[in-house]
Amino acid sequence: MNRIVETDAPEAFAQELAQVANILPARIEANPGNVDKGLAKLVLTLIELIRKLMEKQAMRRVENGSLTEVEIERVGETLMKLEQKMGELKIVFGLKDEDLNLRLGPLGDLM
Amino acid sequence: MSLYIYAVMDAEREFESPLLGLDRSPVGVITCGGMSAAFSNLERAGGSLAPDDALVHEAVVEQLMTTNTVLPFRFGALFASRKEVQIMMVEHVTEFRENLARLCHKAEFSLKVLWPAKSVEQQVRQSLPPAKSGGYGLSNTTAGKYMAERFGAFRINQLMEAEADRRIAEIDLRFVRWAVEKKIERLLTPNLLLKAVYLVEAGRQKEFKQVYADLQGEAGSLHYLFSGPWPPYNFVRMAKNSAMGKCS
Repeated sequence: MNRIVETDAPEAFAQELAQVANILPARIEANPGNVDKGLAKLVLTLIELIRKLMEKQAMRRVENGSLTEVEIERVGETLMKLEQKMGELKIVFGLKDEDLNLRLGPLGDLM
Repeated sequence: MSLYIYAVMDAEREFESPLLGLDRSPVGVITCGGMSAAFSNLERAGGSLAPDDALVHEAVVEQLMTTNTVLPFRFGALFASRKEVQIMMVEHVTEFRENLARLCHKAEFSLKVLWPAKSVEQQVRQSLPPAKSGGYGLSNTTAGKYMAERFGAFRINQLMEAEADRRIAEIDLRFVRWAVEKKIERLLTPNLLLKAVYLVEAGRQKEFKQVYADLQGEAGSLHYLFSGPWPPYNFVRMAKNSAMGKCS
């Protein structure tokens, strides 16, 4: 077969594709010694997803000019406090930002 | 002992020359309904497979592809017996026939493109008009500053995505005219602008490859990884939980 495999940047591709290939589904670590952290990870992931969706929606509304100054203040304060609270909970459960994601195989990442 | 399946093919004939599969076992065929499944016996305990076995799988599928239209099975498809394979083929006969007809005389080509995400982001930032005091006209309170910061990031992200779409469209336009099907994923990582596979008819492969050769000759900040022809792994359409990925 007259196959070609060509690139002008083999190392750069190896690096990027290693990141893409590393998508074995993350699972809830629900072993007896770790059930709290596993559940916290799942719950915080879902909260983080909702927080990001809220933030995106808020940004769209800021862009469209459909929020008053008072509403922007209120939304900003809510999002800011939510982010702070998330930070605290991550510390409590020993989780990092990159832990709060679910790899959904062919569907891609949750976030 | 298990039967390891490599692919389903569009013919009911034995191989003219011997072909060796996993553990150097001879590859044979199990025929059914005008098609055949290429298999070899696997005598390992538990049917365990190692990463190097994937290369053997690929080599067998490629060899099959030189003489037949093939529907490559996912690496690791094990069946307990010939009868189980035949049952699987009967269950999926319509899907297999449709796929074999659609993929006949076609092969897959892969294109991946890297872009310099950081420098593109820098350009995007520079192209933004300077924020008003308080940032984007938002108030100067703590919450207002927070929103201004987030809105700035949101705008940059939007512009980056638009720029990615523009560049992908430019590249895709050149390849897609020689392809019959495509699958495109964008920005799987910040630097991986495009991950695409194209299904190309045998008679169009020369022109398709030429597009890549032309791209390479052009100056620019993009990097390419181009490969093919491959068995059409990404273009076999099967219902969920189908035999193609089955492991027993």
